[in-house]
Amino acid sequence: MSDEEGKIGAVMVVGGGIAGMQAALDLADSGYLVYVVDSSPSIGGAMAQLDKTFPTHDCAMCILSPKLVATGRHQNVKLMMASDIHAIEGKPGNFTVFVKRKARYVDETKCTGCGLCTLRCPIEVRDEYNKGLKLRKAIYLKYPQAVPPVHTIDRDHCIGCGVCETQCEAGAIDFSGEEELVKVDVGSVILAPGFSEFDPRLKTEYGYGVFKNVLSSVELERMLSATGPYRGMVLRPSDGKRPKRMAFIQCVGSRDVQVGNPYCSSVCCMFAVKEALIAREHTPGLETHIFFMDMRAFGKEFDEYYARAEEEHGIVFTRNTRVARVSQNPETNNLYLWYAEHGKMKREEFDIVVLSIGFDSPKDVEKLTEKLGIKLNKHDFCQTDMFTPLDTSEPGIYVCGAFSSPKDIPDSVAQASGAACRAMSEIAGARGAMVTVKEYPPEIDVSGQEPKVGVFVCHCGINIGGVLDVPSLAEYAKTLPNVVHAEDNLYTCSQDTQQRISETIMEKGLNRVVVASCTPRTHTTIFQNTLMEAGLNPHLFEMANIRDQCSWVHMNVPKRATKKARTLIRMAVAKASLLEQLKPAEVEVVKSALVIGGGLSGMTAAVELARAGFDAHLVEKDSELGGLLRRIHFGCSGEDVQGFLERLVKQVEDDDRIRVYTSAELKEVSGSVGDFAAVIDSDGEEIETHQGVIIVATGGEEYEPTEYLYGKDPRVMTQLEFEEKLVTEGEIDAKCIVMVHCVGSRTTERPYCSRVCCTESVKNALRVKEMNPGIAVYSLFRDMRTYGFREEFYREAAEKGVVFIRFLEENEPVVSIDDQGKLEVRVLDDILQEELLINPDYVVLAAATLPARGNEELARMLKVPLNSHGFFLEAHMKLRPVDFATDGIFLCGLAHLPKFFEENVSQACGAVSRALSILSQDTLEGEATIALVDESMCRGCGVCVDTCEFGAPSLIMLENGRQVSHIDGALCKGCGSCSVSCCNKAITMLNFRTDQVLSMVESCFSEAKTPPAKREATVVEEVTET
Amino acid sequence: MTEAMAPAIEEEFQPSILVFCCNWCSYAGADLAGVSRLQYPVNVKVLRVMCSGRVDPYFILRALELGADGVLITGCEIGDCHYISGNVKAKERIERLSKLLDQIGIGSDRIRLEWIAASEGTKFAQVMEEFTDHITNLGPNPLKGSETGGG
Amino acid sequence: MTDFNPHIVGFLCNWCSYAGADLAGVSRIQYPTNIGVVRVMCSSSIDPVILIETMIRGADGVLIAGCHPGDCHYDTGNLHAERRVKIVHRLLDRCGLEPERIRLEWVSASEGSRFAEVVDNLVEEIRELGPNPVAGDQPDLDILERLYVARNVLGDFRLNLLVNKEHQIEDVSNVFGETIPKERMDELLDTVASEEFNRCNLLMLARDSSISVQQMADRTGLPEEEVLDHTVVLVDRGLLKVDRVDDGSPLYLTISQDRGRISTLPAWAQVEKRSIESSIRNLPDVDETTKAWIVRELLLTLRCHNCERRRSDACHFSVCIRGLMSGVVG
Repeated sequence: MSDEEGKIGAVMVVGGGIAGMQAALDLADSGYLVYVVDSSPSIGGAMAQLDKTFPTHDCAMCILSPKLVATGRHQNVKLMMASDIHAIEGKPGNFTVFVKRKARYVDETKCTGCGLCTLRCPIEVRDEYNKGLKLRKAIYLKYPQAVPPVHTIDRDHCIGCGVCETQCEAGAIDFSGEEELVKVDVGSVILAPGFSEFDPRLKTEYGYGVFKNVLSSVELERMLSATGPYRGMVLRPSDGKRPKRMAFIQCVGSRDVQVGNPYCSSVCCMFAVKEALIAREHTPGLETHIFFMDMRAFGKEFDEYYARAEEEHGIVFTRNTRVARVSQNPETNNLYLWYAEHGKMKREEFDIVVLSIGFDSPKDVEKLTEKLGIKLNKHDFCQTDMFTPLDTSEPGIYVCGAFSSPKDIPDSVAQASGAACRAMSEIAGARGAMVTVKEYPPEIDVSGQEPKVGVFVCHCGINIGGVLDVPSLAEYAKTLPNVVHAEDNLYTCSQDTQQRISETIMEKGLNRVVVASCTPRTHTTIFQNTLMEAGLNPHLFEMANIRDQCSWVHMNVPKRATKKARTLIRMAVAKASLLEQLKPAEVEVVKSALVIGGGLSGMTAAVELARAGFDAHLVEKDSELGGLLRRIHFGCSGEDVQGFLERLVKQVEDDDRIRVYTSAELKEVSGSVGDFAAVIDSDGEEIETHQGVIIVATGGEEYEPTEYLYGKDPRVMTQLEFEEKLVTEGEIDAKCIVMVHCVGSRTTERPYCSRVCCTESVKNALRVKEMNPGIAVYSLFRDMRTYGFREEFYREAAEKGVVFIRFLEENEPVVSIDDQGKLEVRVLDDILQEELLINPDYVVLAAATLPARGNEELARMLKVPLNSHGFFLEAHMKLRPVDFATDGIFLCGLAHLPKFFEENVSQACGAVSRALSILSQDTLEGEATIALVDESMCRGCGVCVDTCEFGAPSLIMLENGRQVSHIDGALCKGCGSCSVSCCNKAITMLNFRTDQVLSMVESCFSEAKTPPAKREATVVEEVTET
Repeated sequence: MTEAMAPAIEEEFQPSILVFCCNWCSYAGADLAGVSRLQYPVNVKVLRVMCSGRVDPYFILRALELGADGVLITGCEIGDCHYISGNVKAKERIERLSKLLDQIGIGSDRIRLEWIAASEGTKFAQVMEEFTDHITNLGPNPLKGSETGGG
Repeated sequence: MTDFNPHIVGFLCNWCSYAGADLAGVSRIQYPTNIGVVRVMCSSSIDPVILIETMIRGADGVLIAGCHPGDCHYDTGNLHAERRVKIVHRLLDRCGLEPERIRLEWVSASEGSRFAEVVDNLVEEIRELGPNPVAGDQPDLDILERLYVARNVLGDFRLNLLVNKEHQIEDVSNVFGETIPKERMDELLDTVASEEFNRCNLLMLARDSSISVQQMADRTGLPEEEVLDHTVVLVDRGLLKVDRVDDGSPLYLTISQDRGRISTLPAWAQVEKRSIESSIRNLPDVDETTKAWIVRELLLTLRCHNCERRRSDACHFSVCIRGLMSGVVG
């Protein structure tokens, strides 16, 4: 159960949203038992409600559902749904948590999620998942793809008529359920309870809940979704018509002291841009207007997205305004927006208004924190420290996701991995202690055997049996070539049928199994497990989907549907006969990591790796550690950054597990995940080393401006130089200072936002005011991007008299020197529409953050991509923010994009967590279903190398001097695209071999020829055996 | 009642359509159509591949040769591919194959490429309906019943 | 109205009320002749569908009589009957018919005189209400159509289930061993009856040609947002679909059902009504009142729903009720 120090190798994750799932998967993959506790009946959280995600317009459910299934099916993850934390005892490494589990009145082990119960339930309830725009029943599944797919009876609405019980063929309904208190022992706790939506009713001036056509942004999101109330159409609630003019009002419940939410919710700007774009896609001729104060497009590719929305898609942005109120035309239910523009009150008419609602702290947060003893900040979010952004005030309890501050999906995911890393290094010694590895009997070698196929056809209660003639399907299956056994079962996935299948395999010597039931997407692993228990290779299995894609969708034509099911079974059997046993490639994992870059992110990664018990090799190009952090002296709240840096460097240098190479660079990298061979040039000495994983933390640098007389006049300096000056000189001899934002960022050359400079400017402005309130500070900005709780510093600066002046991109300020040698700044104030003339003593430029210089070469060496600005491009912008598409290589920090101190720490920990899921294994199993090259057929043309996105194929020279392609099994993901592209058809895609797919195509169009002799033989065999 | 009408329908042309679905988006979309109990013509049979990029134009040609009246290839939306760009490749391949089909006289309108996301159960059903109608209007595959067909 | 002789159907339970009626006879107590009696085994054996059907077929009033609560030969049959009548009352109200036309009374085997009083009283009341507007030569087709809606609603699973479980859940115990307060059940049944009635009505409206939310709201008098809500449910149930979008409004069309879930006016009546309406739509220079008059006149040629005699040939109620019983019971 626990290691020698009494630490327990299990972690509790509170919250099953995207952050909670990511943390759980990382932990479970690294050998820890994970309990996911969520008050909702299903995991998925807020992301499950989204239609699309910005800025790539990925379908949210498409990218989320593989994660849902992975979490639900992981043998080291235990889901505790409809549960809350009741109490916690113990100390870090050894907690006892009491979890209150509400009764769901449906047996989780029996419910198949078929949904028959909901069809007959007479009670309709407003569906929370669809924001009340749709109805659900009193027995329900939260959403169609929900995991676990177990229904729940909503006791608040259920009248107890009992009809669901009569409908449930699986006998899963259990009215005797009671709330129970479950005791769970864990080593660490991760809090990921997310957020709650701001209640827009509190902003009475916008009329939400009173005017019918005022929606919240989440309601619109549900409308846009194909599974939403109008199946993707946007309709006015007042009359069911498509809107023609839609307005978004930003900052509803954000940046608003009156409603008690002074902070910025960070995501709503991009959320609104996305919704405006998608709504236009779904509604021909729709005009969309966004009314906002500052466009906070600070993430990767956000500014480009914002620019495209305005320039290419014609979304109208009205900046610099907070809409004063909304009124309604009672005749048409149209809405008037009242707002000020350039000091004048304006009124504009729209037929639908969307309120971009902000984030509140999670519901019942007081109860949770009271039980756990953790401290909240003044906004009721989790209190964290700049240096330890993943730790709560209680040791052993960690935090991630929106609960620590409002944030978007990739930041939550990176942070979740980071929290997992913190949680596991606390209990590093107990890794693997709580997880059990299932033992299977030795595998029977079936190669060379004649195929003997067993077919199991499922009734799925009445889900299949109620439409298709299932017994006749089983009879039909018996007539197919190679089939030696066929039967029908009430529920093929039930425990006893599994047992039967296993026995039948052994009894009849089956060497291929076909199950005709539901979808392979969710059920393959269950049946593969059964095969393994019977000693068969799991890849000797095939499914025919006769429920989701037959009985459910052809209910009104049972006879023809049965005929189709016959075809589907025939296809599956044809493929099954050609299946072969597959073994995934195994790689021995070198238990150490290479970290490239010795700045904050690189050092944090190295320290965390060492804490988790693995060696880290840290390569730094400079002669000393610290990177860009050496130039940052204090945090917004006065934190001593240099003191921290000193301690961190010492920690890195003192740790036996960390080897530091300074003045070093990477010369060469080869190999793949589990075993990379790297050559490091350190001070002229070449060192060869083997590493299991690589973490890229190359950092960034400050842009050296060419604008605003920088370099020509010593009174013009960058913010980092100014910070240095403030700290070293301790005082400032000036009457007036002008700060200019976006120097080198958001330009045609560099269209991205550098994310940190607004806050950096505010920070320095506050320091100046603190030193001498008499100094006039002018901050010339385009959009003030002090997102999250940083908004507070912006407000404080404004209160302390810092003058913020907005300018537009086309009216950049002009810095010159007048005849008396004084600096002169001219700027057109966009709000007042007046040109201002300022004579400052200093001009301070918020210079852009640039990617590290060596990125291009490193990218080539590692075969990983960069984006167009020279930052590294992660595997997926939303859900894999610290991974590369190439396995075993991770990224963090400024190498990914400019970001804040605490974000770098989170991301570095995140990269470590992802790395640990590899390092914690002795051998790595690749995909079994991969592509293979037949060297005798290969011409070595290299088309496959260009086709693959994962770098799996490469050209190698054979001993006989012939160039051929070789596919690295550890890198291949098994899509099969190279097999198609291969000119000489030398590449085979295992499990989807050309002959296997063709056998399905062929049997789709030909009724099988029944070999009568064989059939008789089968019958005889059955008789003799029974 | 419909079943009683079945013999009448049977005499009409009932196209046989093969649908290649990628595992991650379109197959999930087809499952969602099922979960939502959306009804669509029984004429379509789904063949699951991991990625639309796995669909070899040869598979499609073989299906047509064997008498398929229509072949539909479905994959993730561009940008959503689980394997990053498999669908882009599928698109290129299908475009090339379409030209070929036009040249050899079978006609490229018997095959179609559609992007269907995991959340688009409704779209899946609609596409099946539309494509089946479309193929019904086109009439039977000219190769069907010929010497090469049915082999 | 003095010469109005209402037709009343009496459903009497075998054990109490039929015996009570017999006792009235034995005792030679005189009561009006307007009532035709149908003997049933229990007041609970009258399906609400039959009650609506009786009204459709022209009865001016209905009496259901059963044993007093506690005396039921089958324990609680009369309590079920009470709840079923209640739901029928709710629906009659929606149809625009006076709920008082259907009356439930408890008459025991010993209450011969009470039976006579009840009949007296009911006949009097119906006489005051006047004839059933869907009976006779000039049936009110709107009410008739709504009655068909009501019949469909009662035939549907949802309402039916609730009505039949009501007694158990309210008075005995639900599956959790609790009872639900009467007020909550009443409210629930009210809501469900009205929801299902409206939904069914919308399906009828969208049956022949596609129609927008706005138009449905105008035709039913329901608020647009409620109509929109119902369309969401109906689309989800697979009964309605968006046919096309016209001028920014989605137009909905009912999906035809093989299993005849939406029965409505008999086919012949629909055809006739539609043909009359369309033929007069093209008449020039005719005002609305005249058009209505023409429709009414032409509809005189409509036949009785049951015996299919022409309305102008007097069809006899007794004939029809026989047909009714054979149609429903048989």
